[in-house]
Amino acid sequence: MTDLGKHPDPPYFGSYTVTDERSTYIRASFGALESSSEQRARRLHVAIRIGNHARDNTHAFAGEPMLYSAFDSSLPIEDDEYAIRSALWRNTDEAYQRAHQQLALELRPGTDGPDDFSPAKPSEYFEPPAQLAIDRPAWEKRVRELSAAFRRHPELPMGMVTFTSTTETRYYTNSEGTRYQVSEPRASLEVRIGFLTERFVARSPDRLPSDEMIRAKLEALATEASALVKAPAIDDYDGPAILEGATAGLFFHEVLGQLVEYRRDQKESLELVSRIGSPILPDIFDVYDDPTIGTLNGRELAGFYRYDDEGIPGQETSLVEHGVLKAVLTSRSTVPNTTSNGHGRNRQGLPIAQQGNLVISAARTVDGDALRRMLVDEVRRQHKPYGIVIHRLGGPAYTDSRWRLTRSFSLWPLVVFRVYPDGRQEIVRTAGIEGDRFQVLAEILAASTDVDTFNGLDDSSSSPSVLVRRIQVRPPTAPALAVTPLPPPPVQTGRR
Amino acid sequence: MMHGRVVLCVLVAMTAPATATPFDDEPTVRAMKDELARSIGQLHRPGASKPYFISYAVWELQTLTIYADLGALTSSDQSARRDVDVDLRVGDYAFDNSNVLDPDTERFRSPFRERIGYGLPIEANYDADRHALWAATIREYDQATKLLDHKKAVLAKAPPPTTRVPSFSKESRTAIVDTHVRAAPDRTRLEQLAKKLSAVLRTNPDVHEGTVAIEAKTGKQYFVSSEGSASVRPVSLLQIEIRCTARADDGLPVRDMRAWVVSSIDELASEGDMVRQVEDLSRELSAIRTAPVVHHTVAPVVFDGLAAGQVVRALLAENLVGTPARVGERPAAKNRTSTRLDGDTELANDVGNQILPAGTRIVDDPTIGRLGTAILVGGYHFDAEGIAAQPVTLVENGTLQQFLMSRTPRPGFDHSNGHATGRAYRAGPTNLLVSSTKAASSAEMRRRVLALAKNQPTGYVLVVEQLAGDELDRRDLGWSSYPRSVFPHATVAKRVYADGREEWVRGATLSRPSLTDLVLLGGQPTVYSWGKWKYATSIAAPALLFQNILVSPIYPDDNEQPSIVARPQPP
Repeated sequence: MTDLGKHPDPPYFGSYTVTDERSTYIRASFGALESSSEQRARRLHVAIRIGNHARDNTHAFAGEPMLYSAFDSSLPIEDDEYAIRSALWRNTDEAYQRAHQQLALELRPGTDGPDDFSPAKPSEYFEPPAQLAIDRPAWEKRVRELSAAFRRHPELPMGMVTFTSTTETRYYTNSEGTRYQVSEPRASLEVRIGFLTERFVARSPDRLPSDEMIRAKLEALATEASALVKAPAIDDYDGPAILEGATAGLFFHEVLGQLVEYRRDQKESLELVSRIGSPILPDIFDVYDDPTIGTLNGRELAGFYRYDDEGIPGQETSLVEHGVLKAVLTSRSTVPNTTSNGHGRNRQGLPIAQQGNLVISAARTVDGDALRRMLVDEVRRQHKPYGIVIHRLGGPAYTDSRWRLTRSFSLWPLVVFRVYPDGRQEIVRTAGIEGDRFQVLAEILAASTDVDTFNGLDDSSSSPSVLVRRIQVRPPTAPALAVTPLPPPPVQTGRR
Repeated sequence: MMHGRVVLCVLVAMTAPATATPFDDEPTVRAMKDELARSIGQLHRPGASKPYFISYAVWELQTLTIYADLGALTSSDQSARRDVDVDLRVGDYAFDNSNVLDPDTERFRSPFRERIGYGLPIEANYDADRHALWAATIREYDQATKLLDHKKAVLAKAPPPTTRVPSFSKESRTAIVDTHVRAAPDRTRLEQLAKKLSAVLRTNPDVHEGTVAIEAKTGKQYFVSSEGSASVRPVSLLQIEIRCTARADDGLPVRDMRAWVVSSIDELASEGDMVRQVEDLSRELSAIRTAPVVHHTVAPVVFDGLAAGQVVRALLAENLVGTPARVGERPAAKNRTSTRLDGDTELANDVGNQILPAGTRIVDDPTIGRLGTAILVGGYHFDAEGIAAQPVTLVENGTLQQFLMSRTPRPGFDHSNGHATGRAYRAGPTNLLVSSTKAASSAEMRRRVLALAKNQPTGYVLVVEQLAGDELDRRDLGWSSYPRSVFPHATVAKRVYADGREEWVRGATLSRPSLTDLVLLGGQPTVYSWGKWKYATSIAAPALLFQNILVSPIYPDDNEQPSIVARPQPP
């Protein structure tokens, strides 16, 4: 920074983030390993800003993309000071050159808008690197044996069990004086059949669920997958729906969570900020995001962190109180008259506001049976032949709409049941649910007492099941290939 | 890779019974054969055709990937992977679902890319292998029936062809068994080598980045088909590449590299020799960094060393492939001045014509592992379609004789010559050997160059020693920013003046040479090799003198400025 400071366009901010990562990945199917690997990597993230807090090289105008201010690369995994310093020098040089080139774009016409980068007080935090001792052969054996359960369901072609373990130690320093060293171990175990997934996360492998529980989840998934193959297609549907269990968390993650991730280059974000102080949900709901909590009701949360990627401590942020929008999630790319609330996290090198652990709570709740009765009542009231229960949704682990936020949403329901007024239910195939974010949030009628958690890759969303007055469901466009052209081969247990 | 090994090679007529071999009892082979037999007999969806041919090619590879930068490891990973390429055909030999562009999945997929297989367990397990083969087979079957209908629909709208050729050639069954798999190279030894080679660049203050990349693959390929072929062969490749960059004072990047590509670690040059080559690379990089940028000119250009093989790859290698373009393929050029489709050879009408100087000979030979003392890595016992490897003379005395063929025929070329190299249905070069009966000796080549330099207004001839290899790779991968019509940048080049003086230059862009401008071939070939995931290619070519090449300078863009802060000093 000292030498770059002598340049006619000196940087006013610079930071280095070094992430030292050790990971293990084991996947098995049908009782045999499909993959088993260990990796060690050190990643470097260099951020350089030229100009000043009000207007710098990253400046974006409404509706235009924000500019990258950072440069990502790998660092030596050995403690060779000269090789590491050389890599830091090279990447700083590249990051500065890119920032300097972006500065020329500053000449674009546009409105002034809020500052490009909020100031922050320096802080320090150090914790020792976490050590996760992974007994790889033992985990290979466990994953292999868990996956052998698929041998009882040979008609399902894409069943697998995956174990991952990552120990990440992040070293951060910036020109403002903030320095931190945090260590974030994570482990996950995932059971997957095609697109149907059950994922468990924990801060260490020994806190993952028991084999018994995983086998039970696997069997439930297999039952759903088998039923889906023979399921009828839903007709066009526009009516009441229950979002059940962790699916409700995923729904809020996608529909509300992405909306409150403030991006100054997204029109929808700007519109949302203008609604602060106005109702956005029914008045029974409160919503907050807190990346500093590791568990909720005994469930591990994937969105835990102590510091965000811009050197700001993670902090609880109240977003909705009694249905009224109070704030949005911010990075240091600011909302007018605010500073970061510690949610700036890197996405492909670009720090943007992102959910940590989103928590939706309701002041009045009913139990699950009562929620179903309310669904049936709503079906009758709307003169519909049936209502639907969305049991499983596809979502952010597979698609990321954070780059193009729109007012409308579209999600992929994987397991949906038709529920008739007489209590019958049947599984149906669907292609998508869609609607207007603000409208669907305003039409939530009730919430259940039970709270469940959806865990994404590095965030989570916990909420009660909810009944929504109207959700639109599209039917699948292609007919199901319900019958396989050849039954699965016989399983010859005992001979390898 | 073909030496000192017992290879059982049985070529039998399609009606003869298969020969039992020890590898028949391997769980993977049993799973392949059992599932193949069941599928060819029973796989059927009502209203759709049954498959008339199925083959499985299972690849079992252990890969070691090591990177080091300026003397320190940046990564070292070991992985195992097994996958299966399924070739499932519906219709019949005369007309089937093959070699058609899938509008749903391949709209932007280059015909030059390797095929991606279906994953199999990494540990041989009869039930799991067979279940995975079943899942892959039914997916390929549904895909094949869809593509057969699509192919018919596309052809119904096209004018009828003047010559009809079958979709799939009939060939003899093969049973080639070589189960001798090489041991994986020692990881610690390769890590130390990566560190040692990259450490040579630590003391050169000009070096911006000095990275060694090592990839070592060992394993085997199984092949079984419903025609009765059943084969196995070892696979092994070791690639070591050191790439370094510098910034000239005007900000323009300078790139240079050295590479060693061999079949096994035993074939590698000595460590001392490799270190000396990297020291030479370091000096060369510094010299080029301060060299002048080329001027606009039209000049004779000699492609020497690695660049000779690279220019053959860029201009000729894929044009020696006879596989016709996929049905429904895009035009090869955006300007549409030609009707040639992407993937089809530019030499379609040149068989029997002289395309290169008299005396030029080009042979592709996957059956050999060496050319003199030089290592060739493109060889195999049998190709991706299970056909036995065989040498093919492509050009004789400058005249195009024939093409490299897979089992997808073209008019006049009804049969495979064992050159299917893992791109869907497409043939490819393996060990491509360029030579000339009228080759100039090194001394003759130099005399010719100096004489040409004397007659140039600029007073020099450009000698190119390296083209940008990554640009050649990206062209094959179908990157839109690297069209095949654009010739790769010359990264290492020098001027040779009439008085014999040599001067490094940088920033050279060359026009795409025309084969008709090749005027002289040298005698001593250099081998240029590169590996993809499953297959590798070697091109052995002597120095090639072209005339009438347009040479243009590159200028630094806004992002390419000199470094502001000096590199840290080594301890």
